[in-house]
Amino acid sequence: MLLSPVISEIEERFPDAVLSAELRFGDPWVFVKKQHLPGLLFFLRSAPTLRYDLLFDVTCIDYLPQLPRFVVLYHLVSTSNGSKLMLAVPVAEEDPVLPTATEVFRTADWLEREIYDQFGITFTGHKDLRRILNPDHWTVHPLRRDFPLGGEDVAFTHNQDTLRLQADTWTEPQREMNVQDYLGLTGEAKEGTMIINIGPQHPSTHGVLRVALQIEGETVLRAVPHIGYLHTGIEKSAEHLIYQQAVTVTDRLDYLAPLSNNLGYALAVEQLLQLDIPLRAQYVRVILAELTRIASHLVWLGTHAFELGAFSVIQYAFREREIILDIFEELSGVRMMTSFINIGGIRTDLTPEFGTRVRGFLALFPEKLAEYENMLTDNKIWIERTRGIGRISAEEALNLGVTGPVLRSTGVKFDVRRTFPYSGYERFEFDVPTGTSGDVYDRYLLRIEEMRQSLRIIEQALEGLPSGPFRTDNRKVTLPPREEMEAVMEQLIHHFLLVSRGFPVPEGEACSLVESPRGALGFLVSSDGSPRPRRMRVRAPSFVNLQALETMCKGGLVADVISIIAGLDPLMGEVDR
Amino acid sequence: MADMAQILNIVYTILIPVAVLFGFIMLNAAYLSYMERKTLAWMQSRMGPMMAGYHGILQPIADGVKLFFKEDIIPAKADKWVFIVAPLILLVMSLASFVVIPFGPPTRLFGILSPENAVPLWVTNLNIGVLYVLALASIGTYGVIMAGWASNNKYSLLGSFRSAAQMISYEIPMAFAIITVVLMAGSLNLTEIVNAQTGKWFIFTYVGPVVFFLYLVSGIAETNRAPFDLPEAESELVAGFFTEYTGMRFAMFFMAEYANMVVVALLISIMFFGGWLPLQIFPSVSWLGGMAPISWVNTAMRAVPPVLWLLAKVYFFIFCFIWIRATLPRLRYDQLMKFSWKILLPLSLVTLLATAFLKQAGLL
Repeated sequence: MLLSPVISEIEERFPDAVLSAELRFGDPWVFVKKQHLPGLLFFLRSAPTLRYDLLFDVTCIDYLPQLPRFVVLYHLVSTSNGSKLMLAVPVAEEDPVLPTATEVFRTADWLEREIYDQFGITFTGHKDLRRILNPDHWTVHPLRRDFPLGGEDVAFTHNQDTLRLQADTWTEPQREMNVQDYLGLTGEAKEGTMIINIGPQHPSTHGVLRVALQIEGETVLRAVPHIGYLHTGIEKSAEHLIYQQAVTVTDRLDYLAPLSNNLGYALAVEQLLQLDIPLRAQYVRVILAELTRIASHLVWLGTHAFELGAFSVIQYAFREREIILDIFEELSGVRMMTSFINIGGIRTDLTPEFGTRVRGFLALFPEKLAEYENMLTDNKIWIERTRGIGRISAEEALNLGVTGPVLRSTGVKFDVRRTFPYSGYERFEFDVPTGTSGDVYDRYLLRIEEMRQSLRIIEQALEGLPSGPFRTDNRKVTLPPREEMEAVMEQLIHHFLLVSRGFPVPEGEACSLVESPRGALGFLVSSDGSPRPRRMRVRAPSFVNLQALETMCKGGLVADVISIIAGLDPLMGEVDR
Repeated sequence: MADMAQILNIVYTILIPVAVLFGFIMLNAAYLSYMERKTLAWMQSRMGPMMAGYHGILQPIADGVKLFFKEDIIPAKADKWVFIVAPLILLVMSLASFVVIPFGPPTRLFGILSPENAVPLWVTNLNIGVLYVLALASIGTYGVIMAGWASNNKYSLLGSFRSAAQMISYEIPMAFAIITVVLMAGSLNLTEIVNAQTGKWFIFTYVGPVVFFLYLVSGIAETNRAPFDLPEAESELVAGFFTEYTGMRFAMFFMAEYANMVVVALLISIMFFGGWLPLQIFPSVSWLGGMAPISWVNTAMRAVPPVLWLLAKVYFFIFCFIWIRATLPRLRYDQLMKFSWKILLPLSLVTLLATAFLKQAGLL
């Protein structure tokens, strides 16, 4: 249904480009030849009937024993008519070269660098194809399936001498590059400018973000972000864990909103398993995802205000966040890394206290929000520091692949909860606030309003919370109940196998989109039929949003960079993965 | 015996006042940090320091001991002598300002001393006291610039540039505000300024609130405190001009900051709020001021020693500084400049003219 018009449009224009096409879990997947790539992407973006204006993700899957070995995926999303398209390009191991998509979508810049870094596929025409997450001197590509887990050397006291000897033999460009090249500031050395390095250890970079600033006086000429300091190989780790275990590593991505990540991952795997999630679980997931959004936004609000010098707000915001964390603790025993949403539903049923506690929070929070707004919204200095700062136009934002509150601040009404509803969001009434000017002040107002809308959603979900099971009763993924296990031998064996070996997931690829507090979070799970994923791709909103930093900072002052980083709200756990 | 008398004279008029003053400032610098931390904590629903002593009362001492025993690091590429001298300049200049500040009228220690032996509560009664304080504050800026330059660190350098720009911008409206006060009082002597307010505090005159506002804003900017703490904006410039300082040198910057805060609060109290003069309800409206309950209160307030009045005012304004810090975000460097040159400076000029006019017309 969705497939045919797209295929016919493409074939009309590029007669021999399409290799095959199919629908996978509602998403059209079109396999194309790589020769047509940039032109095809341009066509898909500009054709008036298609208008895929957002290159959501570029990633790669390594199908090791199969040929061709790699498939590079271009995940396109249309914000205007709400459709998705997966453009898949097979790439052979012998010829791992693709034309770059950066000319069409600037967002491909970092995404292609990441593929180059992790899979060793090069992109011709890419202006700055350097490693992005792994160390520059590496020669290996860790996300390839034949690269072992733990294949990189980690320095310990017992092996540091050997490692140091190895380091002496590096012939990689990093050693010869001077500082400016290394910082990505090539060819721009200008008289009267100064390079200052912010981070990775800096009070206001939200973690280990490093930004190389080229400044003239206090005016920023260039701002080049450097990431990878917190790269922990979560995508690689997930390939070596059974599906249920991988939920716990998703917690560590965006550690301020772990439940959104759990939800995204669970949705993708549930598609592969074709599970029906009971309504109660869906409602609880919505409640938790919205609570986590408020908690995450509170951290954003506090740190943002703190970085601009209003340093009381952070204490107030954390005070209220504590209430939410207490609710999580009461529910799951854990404050942050709850892993509470897992495949098949939620981990345990709600505690009797949960409803009262959440209602208590709902009653309390609007008043507290007013308190924060009282301190900031009409504050002359606050407005001066944020209005007109970090401005970005809707076209630029879409071109850079920015999502979430930052995109909505430019006036584009793209919220995954509304455009591609999941987990029953279509049942709830809420507004998607948008801004007009795309500056930091708009982002501030928007996130405040989002917290209000989250309250609305939680209220509705709590009112209409249905009774019933909190997990799917599909025994393929759900543990047998205790009584049965104690009575029936087979159930005990089944329990043992589920826990120790995991459940196999049918072969295929599924992707999910959720609206995390930072933007559109995508999970792509590829299964080879075993109990461990072949690939778990995380399209982290912070990673893509951070690319917009340079565009936003250019021409501003050093003090604005701080304001802009705070308004972007990147989370390094998610950026570096 | 003449020598003995001279020595005693020096001890009485210089050594003892200086020692008392120095003790006062040091105690203030230490305990203002405690006051600041506690006040901020209460405003932010926290506890503040609680571990050292009862409710953390010994925290400043613990901090002092810690800083004293910290390793003193001078960066390898720093300009060594400038690096060492910079905090001294800043600290000495802020300490020296206290010399001319009168803490009260000459005291007879509750009638123990005869009027001719009354002890003056100042080290020196300089005729150009106001000018002296202003000059020292400007020299203090050199300490900041030297610290930033000598550290050989880009953050420090940016911090000290900002500081220099800020000082230049804010000293002008500040000077005009002070000139306005001088015009009202007819003297540059701080004691005279207080005495001129016997009938009516300057804050209650027509131009008083405006001048007070001008001086308050530029005074906060002068002390580099929020919302004008750009030179040390920690979220941008780590710690600004003293990023590279450790141990006691680091502590010197802090002492200087708190001492400056006290100076500004003292000057505000002296120039606008009648210094050590007690608060009187309707002093100029005799029929109201003479009414029974009001006059009792007035008498009671007159009974409080003048020094306490001055200190009460000073700590109130210090509390206000802390309060402002807890509330307001930080301005940006160019906005700060704009605010000074486009708003404060014209305003201060207009006020000065208005004051001159009012004075001439006898309306002050």
